[in-house]
Amino acid sequence: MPKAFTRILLFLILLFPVGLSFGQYGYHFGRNKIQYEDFEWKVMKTEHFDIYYYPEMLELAEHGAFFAEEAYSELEHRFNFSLNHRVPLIFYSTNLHFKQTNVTSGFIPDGVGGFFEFLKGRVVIPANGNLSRFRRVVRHEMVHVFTFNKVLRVMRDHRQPSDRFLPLWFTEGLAEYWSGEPDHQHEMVIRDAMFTNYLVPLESMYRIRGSFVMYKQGEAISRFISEVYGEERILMLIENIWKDRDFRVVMELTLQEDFSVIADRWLKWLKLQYYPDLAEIEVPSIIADGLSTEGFNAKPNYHRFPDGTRKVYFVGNHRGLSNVFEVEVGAEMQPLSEPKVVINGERSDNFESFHLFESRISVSSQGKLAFVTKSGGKDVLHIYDLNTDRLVATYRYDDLIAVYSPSWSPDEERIVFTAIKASGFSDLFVYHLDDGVLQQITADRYDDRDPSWSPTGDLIAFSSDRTYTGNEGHYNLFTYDTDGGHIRYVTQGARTDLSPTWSPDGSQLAFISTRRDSTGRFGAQDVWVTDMDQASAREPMVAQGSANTFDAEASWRPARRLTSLVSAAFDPVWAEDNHIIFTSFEGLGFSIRQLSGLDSLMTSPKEEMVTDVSRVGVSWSFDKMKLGVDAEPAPYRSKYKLDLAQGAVSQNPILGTTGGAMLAFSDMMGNDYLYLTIFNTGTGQRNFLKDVSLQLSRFKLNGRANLGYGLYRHSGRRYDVTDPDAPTKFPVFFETVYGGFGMVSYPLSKFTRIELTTSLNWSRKDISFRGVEREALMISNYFSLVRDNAQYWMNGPVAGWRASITAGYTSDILYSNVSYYTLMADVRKYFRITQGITFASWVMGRVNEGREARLFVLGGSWDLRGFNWFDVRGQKMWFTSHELRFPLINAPTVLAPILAPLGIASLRGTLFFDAAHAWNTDYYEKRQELRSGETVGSIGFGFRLNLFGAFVLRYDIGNRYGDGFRTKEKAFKQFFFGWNF
Amino acid sequence: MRIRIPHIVLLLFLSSCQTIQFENPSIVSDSDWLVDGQSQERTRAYAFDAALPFEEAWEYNAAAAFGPGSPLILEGVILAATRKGEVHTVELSTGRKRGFKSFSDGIEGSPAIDNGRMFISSAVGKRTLVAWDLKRGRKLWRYKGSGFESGLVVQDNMVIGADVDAVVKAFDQADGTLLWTRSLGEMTSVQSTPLLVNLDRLFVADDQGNAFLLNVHTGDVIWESLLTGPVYESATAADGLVFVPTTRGAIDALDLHTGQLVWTLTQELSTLRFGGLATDGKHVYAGATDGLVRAVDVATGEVVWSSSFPDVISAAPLVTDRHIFVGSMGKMIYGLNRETGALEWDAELKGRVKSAMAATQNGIVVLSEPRYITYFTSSEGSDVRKK
Repeated sequence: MPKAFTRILLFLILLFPVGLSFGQYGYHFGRNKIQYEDFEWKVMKTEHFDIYYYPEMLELAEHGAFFAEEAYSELEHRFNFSLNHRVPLIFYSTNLHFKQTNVTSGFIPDGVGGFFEFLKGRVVIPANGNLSRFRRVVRHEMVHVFTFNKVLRVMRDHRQPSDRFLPLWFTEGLAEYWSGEPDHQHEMVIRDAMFTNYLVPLESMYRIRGSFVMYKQGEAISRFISEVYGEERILMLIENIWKDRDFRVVMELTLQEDFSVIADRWLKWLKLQYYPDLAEIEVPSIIADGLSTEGFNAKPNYHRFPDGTRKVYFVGNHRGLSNVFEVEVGAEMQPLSEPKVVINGERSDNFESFHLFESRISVSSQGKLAFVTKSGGKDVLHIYDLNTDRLVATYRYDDLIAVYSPSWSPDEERIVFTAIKASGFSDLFVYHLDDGVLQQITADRYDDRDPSWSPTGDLIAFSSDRTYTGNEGHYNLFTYDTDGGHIRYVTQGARTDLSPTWSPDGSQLAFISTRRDSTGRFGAQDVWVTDMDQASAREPMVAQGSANTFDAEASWRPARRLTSLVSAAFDPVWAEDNHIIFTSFEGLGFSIRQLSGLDSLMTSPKEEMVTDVSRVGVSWSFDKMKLGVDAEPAPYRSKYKLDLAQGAVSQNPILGTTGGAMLAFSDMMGNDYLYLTIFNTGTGQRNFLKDVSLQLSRFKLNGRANLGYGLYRHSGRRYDVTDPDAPTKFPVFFETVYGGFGMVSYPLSKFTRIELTTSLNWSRKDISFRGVEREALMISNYFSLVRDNAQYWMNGPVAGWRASITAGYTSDILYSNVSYYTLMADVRKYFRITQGITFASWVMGRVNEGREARLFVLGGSWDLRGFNWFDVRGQKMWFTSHELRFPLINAPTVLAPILAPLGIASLRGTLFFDAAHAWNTDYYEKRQELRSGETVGSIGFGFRLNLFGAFVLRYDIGNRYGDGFRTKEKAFKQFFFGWNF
Repeated sequence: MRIRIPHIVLLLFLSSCQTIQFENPSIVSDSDWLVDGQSQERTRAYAFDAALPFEEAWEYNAAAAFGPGSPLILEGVILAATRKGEVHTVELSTGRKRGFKSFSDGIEGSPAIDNGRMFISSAVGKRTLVAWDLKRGRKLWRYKGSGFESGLVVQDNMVIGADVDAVVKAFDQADGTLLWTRSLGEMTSVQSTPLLVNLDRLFVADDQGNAFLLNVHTGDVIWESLLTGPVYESATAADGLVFVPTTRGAIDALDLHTGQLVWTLTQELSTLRFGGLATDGKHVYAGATDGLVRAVDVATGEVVWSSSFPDVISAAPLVTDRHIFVGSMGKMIYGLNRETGALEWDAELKGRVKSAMAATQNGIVVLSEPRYITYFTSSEGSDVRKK
C-alpha cells in the first residue's frame, strides 16, 4: 500500500528536521494499495528489452516479448531512431495484479491499459485475457518510449533544456495512431463527438487533458496530419520541438500553415468523413426511452417478480461511487420510479469495486442476482436475493484472479462466467452451486467473454476472438454445447460481435455488433438479432485451440440490425418478448434505455445479413519469443538506482540558514526505497560537523506488510512549540539527537490498516534561554488503527468517512524524566446531501498524560480557523469542525469549459463552525499564552478554488470567539492552500 | 579598476578562440572538403587506401550534436557546424580547438566554402544564411528569411540553398544580393541538400516526393519528376543519373537529362527510410532503418550485396578505395569491404552517428552524439598524435 505508506514516510522525512514529536502526527488517512501477491519475479533479456514476469504467466510474457521486439522493429522505421539502452518491460497477467504494482504509488483505475514511467524508463503492462489488446498496448507504450527518447535527444542535440515536451494530446494520440488501425472505441468516441457536437477544437485540446476523448481526438489528429500533410510530418513535429516552446508554433513551422488554418482543416476533414452518415443515424435519446440517464449506467438486466412487479437492475455511478441500482418499470418498460440503490459499492471490503463497464450482471428466474466485485486481491462472485434484499452467498476461487459476467443456468444450479487465472488467459468456467465444483469449459489463448446461458439449458452463447480473424481484434459469437462440449460459430466475419443474450424462448440471440465500412472505419455499435432456430448439431464445430477449416455444407444464418445509432449500444437484454433493454452511449454519457416494438423492427430491420458460418478460415495464433531457450531466466534481484538527488538551501529568521541534500534510490519494481538526507544548520565553519544532521532510512513495500526503518542524527537549533522543556514564548533550543526508528503498516483491507511505530533516541538539549541542559534516552511506541473510505472530488472528500485511533507510550528509560501515554481519536464523516453539496463533520480528541508530556497544537487554516499556527496548545484537547460545502461554479467540463483557460477546475463555497478546548491538568485552568482552559472557536464562510486540478486555494472569512463563544474576539480573513479536511 | 596583463592575455586568448580565420582560404587542395560530401554531386567517395584497422586518434567536444551533413576540411583544419548554431574549427593533426563562432540557433546543413568565404545556413532564427570572410574572420553579409534544413551549393560566385518552404534561392556570394528564386510548390519543404550536376544544373527534391532539375544560373525548371516517396536524406549523382533515397522504402534512379525514372529499388516495407547515399560510379551505397547497408548496381538497381547491422543507419556512407564506412544509431562505426560488404573493422562511439563523414589520406572524421568529433586513423603510418 505505497500510496498511504509513502505519504507517511514522506511526511516523516519532512517532519524530521523540525522535530521528533511523531506522536500527534503519527497517523495519516488514505486508502491502502495492497500487495496481495508475492510475485516470484523473473528477468529475461531479449535483444532490446529486459522482460520482468512471474512464472505463472510465462507464455504471456513470451508473447509480450515478441510484441515488444516487433514494435521496436517497426518503430525504428517510423522514428528513424534506435534506442541506446535496454528498456525494462514489466508484465502482469491481469489487471488485478497490475493494480498492485509499486512502480507507481497511485491507485490504478479500471481501464488503464499500461503506462510508461519516465524516471527509470519502465513500461508496465497487464495482459488481462486479450492478446490483440495486449499487443496493441505494448505497441502504444513503445511509441511513448521512442517519443520520449527522441524528444530528449532532439533537445540535447540542440543544447536546449529538457524541460519542454510535446503536449499530452499529441503523444497519446500518436501512441494510439502508431499502435494500430483505429478500433471501434475510437469510432465510438469520434462519432459521438461529431454527432452530438462536443468535438473539442484543436486550439482547446488542453480542456480534455487526460480524458479518454483526448486520446481518441489526438489519434484522429495524427491521422489527419498523416493523410493531409504526409506521414513524415509527424516525425518532423517531434524533430522540430526545439524550435519553439509553443507547440502551436511548432505545428505552424512544420505543417507550413497558420494554426487556425490547420485547426479548421482538421474539422473539415472530420466533417467530410462523418457528416454523410447524418441522414441515416438515430439518436438513442429520441428512439429509445431512458430508464436511467444520470451519470454512468451499464450492464442492465431485467426481472419480473411473481407479484407482477417489473424491475430493471444495472450497475451505475451517479455520484462518484459505483452501485447496483434498480428501477421499477411498467408493462411497456416505462420507468415508474427513480433509480434506487440496491447494493452500495466501493465502501466496504466485500464490494470493493464493480467492473462497471466490463462485467455483466444476471438475475435468475427466482430473483437471485449474480454479480462480481473486487474484494481483496481477487474478484468474487456474489449471489443477492432480490426478494429478501439479502446477500445470500459470496464465492471466492483460489485459482481465479479476475471474474466477469456471470450468467445463470435456467435450473439455477449453475453459473457460467468468464475468468482469468494467473496465466492471464480468459476462459469460460461453470460453477456448480450444489456441490461447489468449478468446471473450466474453455482452456486456450483466446478471449472468451460475455457468456449467456440459453433458456433451454443446452447451449451457452459467448463472444470470442477465437474466430479466424481474431488476431486482427475481431470477435464473433459462438455457442458451447453443454452436453458434448462442442463450440460452434454463430456469426462469422471481420466484425466485432459482443454481448450475446438469449430471447426468452431461446429462438434468438440479441447482440451488439460493429464492422468496418468500405473506408476502413468502424461504424456504430448497433443492436442486432440473429436467428438461433438452426443452432443444431449439424453446424460445424470449432476445435479448441487448433485449426478449424471446414468442408461442411453451407450453413446460412440470418441476422438483422435493429438500430442505426449515433455511436454505440452495449449489453442488450430481452425484457419479455417485445423489448430490448440496453446501454447507450450518447453525448459522453452512458444511459439505460429500452427499445420497443421488436416485432416491427425485425420485420423491417435496418439491415439484413445472411452469412455462411461454415466458411471460415483457419484459427490463428500469435508468435512468441521463447524466453529461457538460450539462457535460464534469472530471478529478480533488488538493485538500487538513483531516483532523485536534490539540494536545497533555506533561510529562516529563527533557525537561520539550512543547507542540505536528499538522495532517493529505489529498485526496478519500486518495492525497496532508500533515502539519505543530510543537512547542516551551522553558522560557521567551526560548527560544521557539530551541526550536521543526517538520516538513512529504508522502506520495503513488496509484501502486504510495509516496513520502514532507519537511523538518524539530528543536531541544530529547533523551534518546537510542543516541547515542554522549551520556553513558551520563544520555544527555540539546541538539540543533538541520535536514534533509530522502525515502522510497520499492515493493511487489513483496502480501507483499513494498522500501524506500529517505534523509535529510540538519545538527546541532549541546550535551552539557553532558561539555562537548562537536559539529556534523555527516549523510547516511543505507537499503535494506530486507520480506516478511510472517503470519496474525493476536486477540493477534498465529499462522501464516506474516515477515522483513526492511536495509542502510544513514551518514556525516558535512562533518567526517567519523561513518562507519558498518548491516546488520540479522529473521526470525519461526509454526508453527501446532493450531487454537489456535502456536509462534513470532524471530531477529534487527544490526550498526553504523564510526566513531562508533550503539548498538542491547533490553529491555522487547516483546523482551528481564525487562530494562528500553534496558537492553541495543551496536553489534552478536543476539537470539532463542521462544514457545509456547496458549488459556486462548476468548471470545466468538456461541454461547458468556461473557466478552463484560467486553469480553474472548481470554485466552491463553504460555511463553517470550528470549536476546540485545550488544557493540561485542570479543564478550566486558563493560560493565555497557550489559549488553554477555555473553549475557543470560529464561525464563518469561505471559498475553495481548485487550480489546474492540483492546487486548492482556501480563503476564509469569519469571526473568532473565546471564552466558550461568549466573547467575540475579532473578525479574521485567512488565505492558504490545501484540501478540505 | 586595475587591468593586469594576465587579464589582457586571457581576453585576447578568448577573443581569438571565438572566431574563425584562415591564412589562405582561397587556396584549396584536393584533400580539402569545401562542401558536404567533398563534391557537390555528394558522391562521398574519396580516394585513399589507408589500411584497417583504424584507431581513435583524438576526440573533440563540440558542445552540441550535428546535422546530417559531413564536416569540412580546409588547410588541415576540420570545420564542423553544430545544432547549437556554432561552427567549430579543430586542428586535424592534434584535435585541438582552433576556434569557434556562434552563428544562429541551429545549423542542420553543412556550411559551404568558396572563394575564401564560408556560407552557413540555419534552420530558424534571425540569420538563416550568413556569409563569413575566412581570411579576415568577419561577417560579410546575412540574410533573414525562411530557414534551411539542408546544405548549400556554391558555384560561379553564387551560393544556392533550398529552404523549408521549398523556395530555391540564389545569392551573390560577395554581397548577398538575391539573384533569383524558384518556388517548388505550396505546402512542401526541402530537407535534402541539393546537388550540383554538370556544373550548371541544380537537382532538388522535396518532402512531397517531387524532383526538379533547375538551371543554376536562372533557376528555370528544366524538368520535374515525381518520385516514389518523400525525400529527406542526401541524394547523389554519377554518370548521368541521380539517385534519390525516399522515406517510403525506395531508391529512385533518374536520368539527369530527362528526369525519367530509370529504375527503382523498392523494399516491401513502406515505412522503411533510406539514409543518405554515396556512390563510386559503379554502385550506390545506402544504409536504411532496417539496419542493412546495401550496394546497388547503378545501371540496373539490383542489390549487389548487403550487410546487416543491429541498428538504424541514416547517415550517408563514406566510400574509399577499398572500403565503405557507415555509422549507425547503435553508436557504432563500421568499415566494410567495398566489393563484398564484409565487415572488416568496427569501433564503438559515445553516441549515435547521424552525420556523414569526411576523410583524409590517413583516416576518417566522424561526428557523433552527443557532441563529439572523432578522428580515426590507420594504425599503420599515421602522422597524427594518438590519444
